[in-house]
Parts: sequence; structure tokens; C-alpha cells
Amino acid sequence: MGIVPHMQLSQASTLCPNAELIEHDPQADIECLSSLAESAQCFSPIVGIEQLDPLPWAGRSLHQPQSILLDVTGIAPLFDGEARLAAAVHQWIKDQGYIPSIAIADAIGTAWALANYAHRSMFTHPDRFLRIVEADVPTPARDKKAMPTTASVKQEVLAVTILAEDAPARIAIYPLSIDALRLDQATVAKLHRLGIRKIGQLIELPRSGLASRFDEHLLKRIDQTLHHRIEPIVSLHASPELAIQECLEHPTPLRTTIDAIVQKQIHRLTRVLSDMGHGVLRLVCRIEMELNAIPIEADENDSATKPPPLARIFQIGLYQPSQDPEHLLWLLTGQLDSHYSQGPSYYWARSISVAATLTAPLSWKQNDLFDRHTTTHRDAIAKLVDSLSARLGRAAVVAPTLQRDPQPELAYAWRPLTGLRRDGTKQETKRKLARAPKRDFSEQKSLEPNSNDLWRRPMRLLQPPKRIDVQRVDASGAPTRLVHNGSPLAVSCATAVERIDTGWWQGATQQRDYYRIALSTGVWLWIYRDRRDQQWYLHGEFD
Amino acid sequence: MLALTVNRNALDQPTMTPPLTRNPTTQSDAAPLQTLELLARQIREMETAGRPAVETIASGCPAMDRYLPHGGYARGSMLELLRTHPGSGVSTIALLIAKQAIAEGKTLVLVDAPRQFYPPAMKAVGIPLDRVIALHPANHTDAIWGIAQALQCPAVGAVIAELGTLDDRTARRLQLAAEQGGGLGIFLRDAKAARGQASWADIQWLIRSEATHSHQDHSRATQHHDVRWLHLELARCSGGRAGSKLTLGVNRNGQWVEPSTSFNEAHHEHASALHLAAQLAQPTRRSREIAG
Repeated sequence: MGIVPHMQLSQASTLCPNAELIEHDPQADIECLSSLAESAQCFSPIVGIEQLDPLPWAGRSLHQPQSILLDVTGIAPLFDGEARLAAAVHQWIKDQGYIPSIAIADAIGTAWALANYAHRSMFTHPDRFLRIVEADVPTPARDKKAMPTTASVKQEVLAVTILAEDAPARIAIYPLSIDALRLDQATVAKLHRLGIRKIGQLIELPRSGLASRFDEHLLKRIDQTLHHRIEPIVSLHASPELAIQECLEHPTPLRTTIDAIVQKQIHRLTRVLSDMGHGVLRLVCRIEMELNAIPIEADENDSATKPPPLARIFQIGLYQPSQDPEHLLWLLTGQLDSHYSQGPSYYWARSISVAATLTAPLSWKQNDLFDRHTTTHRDAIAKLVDSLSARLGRAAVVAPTLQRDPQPELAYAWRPLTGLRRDGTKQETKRKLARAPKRDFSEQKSLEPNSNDLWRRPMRLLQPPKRIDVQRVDASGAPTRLVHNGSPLAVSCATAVERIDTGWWQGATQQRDYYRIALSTGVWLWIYRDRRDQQWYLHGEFD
Repeated sequence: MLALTVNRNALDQPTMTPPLTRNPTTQSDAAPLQTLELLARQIREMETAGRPAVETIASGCPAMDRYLPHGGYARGSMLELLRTHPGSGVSTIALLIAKQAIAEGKTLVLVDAPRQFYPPAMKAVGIPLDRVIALHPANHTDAIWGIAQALQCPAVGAVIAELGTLDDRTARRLQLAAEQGGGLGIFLRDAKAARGQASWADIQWLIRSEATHSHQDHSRATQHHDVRWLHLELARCSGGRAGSKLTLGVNRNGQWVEPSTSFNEAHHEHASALHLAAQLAQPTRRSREIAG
């Protein structure tokens, strides 16, 4: 098709007019990456997600974490060497529907640079943010040491770089682009102006000169990449006191046993949390499975095709920090119910762990004179939102936000309420996930004029707009007679036209002439004439 | 049995010996009225025994409140708004009532399976969007469950939901949930679907949008772009005046307009010598609105 990343949507839609456009959901990306990181525990006990800088890195189109980091110190012998380990990780990520790019090195910086940039020249696409066509997976996710890359599907090469223990890091990274140093765009642009494009060129320069011309951050990144400075992996897992595990003596298929253990663990966890003054925002329950029965023959084929589930992970996200064991247990039970209702499984639970991977200080309930009502209602609303989200799904319990867009259907968005912090306030807590992009448009003024006018916008918007048959228009172009619900009706009144001409940067330009009309039955409608195809559409009802 | 006892006591009262100073004829007229009033109040109290106290939410429109039993919508009750046609202004009324119900920091829960409610319009009504939770349930069972959960929550001031047909058990479940939580359940229904059904709602309004120019009054026609006129009929009202009809308007600022006042103002404006000058004084505002 000729569609490449970073291409304008208008260009892409010209090349492929029938393409389905799906808006990028950063929250879903982070959710998916973190659950991939959770399950990467089968390779290493220390798994983390890359930590972002305040400014986006050069060479990245999005400012959000995209790599998973595994500490594999001392683990390679269990897999018969680093090459086998990398191959196992590679296969595991491929099974999840991604194409990985993996690097193993002594330092995080080196491995990150190799995983992200060593194979880039081999692929047609300069960025990994292209969705894999075959695998219907919502998120592109990558690892530093295990990094699925959405490169060209045809070129399914084993993108694994393993830096030999005795090889100096600088040899491997010399030919890489300076983008591989995780620098912000301004610094990279400045280096480009100086004619520096490769890491090798940069390292050859005297350090004193760099220190005076650039900030400390550049030197820090060089040191991290050359393994002169230690960089820790910020583990995604809960700190040891917030993770409670219990290995069973014998594997069990019994739901009651699992429930009892989970209940005990949640009570213990909330006791620890109440000492800390914290509440759970995200709770992960991990049940490790073991094949414990001989499948009957009919099922043999099924089990041969599917990789055996090593662990089942149940996650709950909360609306506000909670340390109420009954509430947490109730939410988790809902998740367990959906799993255990699928019928008997040959995989029995071997060990059960419950961990609070994201916590936050409990909000201090100040009995303020003016804020009295808000604080008393907050707990009740949190419980309501959690229970609604647990049953209806996270995407079905939403809050409206307004966006700056004159196109009526893009002037608002529904935002899920659970799983992320509501306000952007600083939390004095270990943040396991990097900062989620903050999109709060509630304070911004809408572009549409006089947004406080009740009759300017309809109460209900029909999406997509419905074709409507306008039989007659007057001299100014306003409709005077149309067919609504099968019966021809006279338009008794129409407002002056509101012309909306927008969206050329998003693909096809929208050119619409909107009218608010009152029919002879008393019904008020919001209709528009599309100036491209000269058809009339019903877009909303003043219900 | 309880009802009988109370009624008998109530009926006994007027038969007591009247004071001699009173005019016998007046007394005999007034007594049945008083009795009826007393009975009505007692019946109302019995009907609403599940609620903590009759605490009402003013609709924000005195003309509407006059028709309601306690001068407003009782907390923990259900209200049904029946529409004759889609687009007849039912959602607007629901949001205007909900705006009053979520004062004091409460939350509005909007059960909107077809995802049609338009947040910019909700903001224009005056609803703070940070206190709105919308549910997009996948099926009817989930929707009912969601409504019941929301009504039970004491922090929810109002629940607006589109309802089709309801069986008695579900309706009773919602009623109990509302009584428990103290919020107001505002249900939007199609008039045809609701007609044959018994209702568990305390109040049912049948709403029609006024056809433009049906009224001969010129002042209304000139105001057409600003005020939308709606006919409300009290189809059901426990303890109130069912069958009453009223006409109310909603202006572009989201405020209720009563016919008489708007009449007078419009008339005054129309008759005023400054009419032309007043129009000329606002040319920028009008042109900006049209420019859209």
C-alpha cells in the first residue's frame, strides 16, 4: 500500500480510502505492556518497564513506555546459555502475537540501544509503531532485552543481539544512531547540527567540551550506555511486603480452597497497607498452574495446539486507593468467577500470590467547611465505580471530557474511570508505571462559539449521522420540507446556517452546513447538508 | 388493617361536637375537605413509609413544583418522563431536574446504552461534567443491574436511564434501590410502550413539544429561537393532581420560563419604542452566533 509510520492521515487515507481508522489509546497500551511485563516473570524475578524522561525521546513517535526490562543475571545457565534464553523469550513473545527484538548486554543502556537500533536498518520501516496485520493485538509493546517489534511481517528474522561477555560495549554501539542514547529531541537536533550522527562520533569528543555545551543528562546517558554508570531496573512488581505468595503442598482444582487463600492474603495485605497508610490502586492476583490430570483423547489435539497456561493473572484497577479487604475481595471474586465458570480444567493451581502493584496514600479526609459534601460522597462513589467496572467492564463505566475540536462528534470523549489516577496530582509513592499521558480537556474552552447556549448543540448525537430526505429548500438553502420517520413533514422553523469546515488534517475535509429545525410535530432536529456529496443528514435530536 | 384504623380515627374527628360559635353550614362544608386532606396526607405517608422522611428536590421551576405533592420530587422516588416522539425535549427536562438533584456534590449516573447523550449539551444545561458517570451497558440485564447499583449508592443524586418495558419485579427492585439510596430515578420512556403498563413511579409526566406557530401569539414566534415550549401532562402522581396540564418553556440559558412572565416580557419588548434600537445595539452578538 505504501503506508508508513509518521505518514499524515490524509496521505494514508488517499492511498487506502477504505482503511478502518482506530484511534490510539495510550492507556490500553500501558495496560497491555504492564500485563505482558507481569507475565514475563516466568523468565526473571525482576521485570520492569523503561522509565521515561519528562521530554519524549528522539526517534520515538509516542511519549510512553514501550520496552520491558528483565534482569537475567545468573539466569542464563537455567536455559543452557544466553542464546537459548533469548530464543525462549523470543518464542514466548511471538506466542503472544508480537514480533520481538531482543538484546542481552551488561548494561540497560547498551541492551536498550541494541534492541531498539541494531536491527532497524534491516527493516523497511523506521519505527516500530505499525500494527501487525495478522495478529489482532491492540498494543505494540517491546522489551529492552525482550522487545517485540512490529517490523515488516514478511521479514520475520530472529532479532536477537547478544553482546558477548568479553566484547566491549563501545564496539557494538559505535555505529548506532545517537537516537539510541535515549536523548530528547532538542539535544539530538543540536548534535545533528554539529554533524554528529553516530554514537561513535559523540564518544570520541572530549568530555569536558560536552559537559560545557550540553547538560549533565547527555553525559549520564553516554555513561549508562557504556556501562560506566549503574542504572537500576525499576521493578514492576510490588515491593516484597506488598506481595504475598503461598505455594500449595498439592495442586488443587478446588475453587473454595483458592478463595480461602485469596481471602487470607488480601486480609494480610490490607493490614500491611493500613500500617503504611496506603491503599491499593491496582491489585494483581497470580495463580500458577500445573498440568495435573491426563487429558482424555478428544482433548489432546486442543492441548497440543495451545501453549499450556503457566499462570493465570487477574488484575483489578480501582477508582481511588482502598484498603477495605471486603471490597477488594469482592472485586477479585468477580474476576475469578469468570475464569472458573468455564468448566473444569486440567491445570490445577499450584501457587497463589496477591500483590499490590500500584498503591497510593489514602486521601486525607479533611472536614472542610465548603468541601464537606464532596469528601463524604467520595468513598461511596469509589465503591460504586469499582463494582460497576468489575461487572460491566472498564470501557462501559466512563466519564465525559470535552475536547477542543469544532467537529461535533470529536468535541467530546468518554474516559474510563478505573485503572488510572483521576487527577494529575503528585503521588508520594513508588510509581510502578511511567507517567500516563495526561489528557484533561475539562478546563479548556471549547472552540465552538457560545458553548453555554443550550440550543446550539443537540442533547443526543446520532453516530453515525443518518441520511434524511429533504424534499424542498428555500432560497437561502434552509430546508422547508423533509421526510422524518417515513412521513413527510413541513419544517416550521429553521435557524440560520452554522457552517463547519474542518478536519482536513485528519483525512477527508468535513464541509457541513448545520441547521436546527423545528418540525410541525414540535420535534426539534439538528441536520446538516454535506457540501461534498450534497446529501442531507440527521445528526442529532434536541430530545 | 392499619389503614382501616387510621381512616376510622380520621373520620371520627369531624363528628365531634363543633364549637357553638361556628356557623354550622360553613363547618359542614369544610369538614369533608379537611377530612379528605387529612386522609390524603395519611395515605401518602403510608405509601412512602420506606423513605426516611419526605425530603424533596425542587425542580427549579415553581410552576412545576406547584403540581407536585410536596412541592418537589421526593428523594428516593422514581420519576418517569414519557415522550410522544423522539426529539420532544424529554432528555432536556431530565437533565434540568437532575441538575437540581445533584446539588450538594452528588453524582449523576447516566445509563446510556446507545451512547447518544452529548456531553457539550450537558455542560450547556449546567451539569458539572466531573460529576457525571456514564454507563454503556451491553444488554438489558446489565442495564437494570447498573441502575439498581447506582440508585442504592447514597452519593448518587440522580440516575437517568432509558427504559423500555419493565416487569413488576424489576420495577419494584428499582423502587427499593431508590428508597435505600435516596437518589432520584429519572426514567425516560416511550409513551406508547408505557401506556399499557402499570407504573411503579411516583410521578409520570407526558411531554409533548409545542409545534411552532400553533399558538397565535406573535411574541412567542419571535422568541422561538430562544425558548422551547413544552406541554407537560401529569399522567400519574401519587398524592398529587394527576391529569393536570401545564406549558413550560426552557430558554437558551437552561432556565425555565413560565408562559405568563415570558408573555409579559415579550409583549413589553414588542411594544417598546426601543425595540429597533435594542436590536441594533447587539449586532455583533447576533452575527457571531450565526457565523458559528
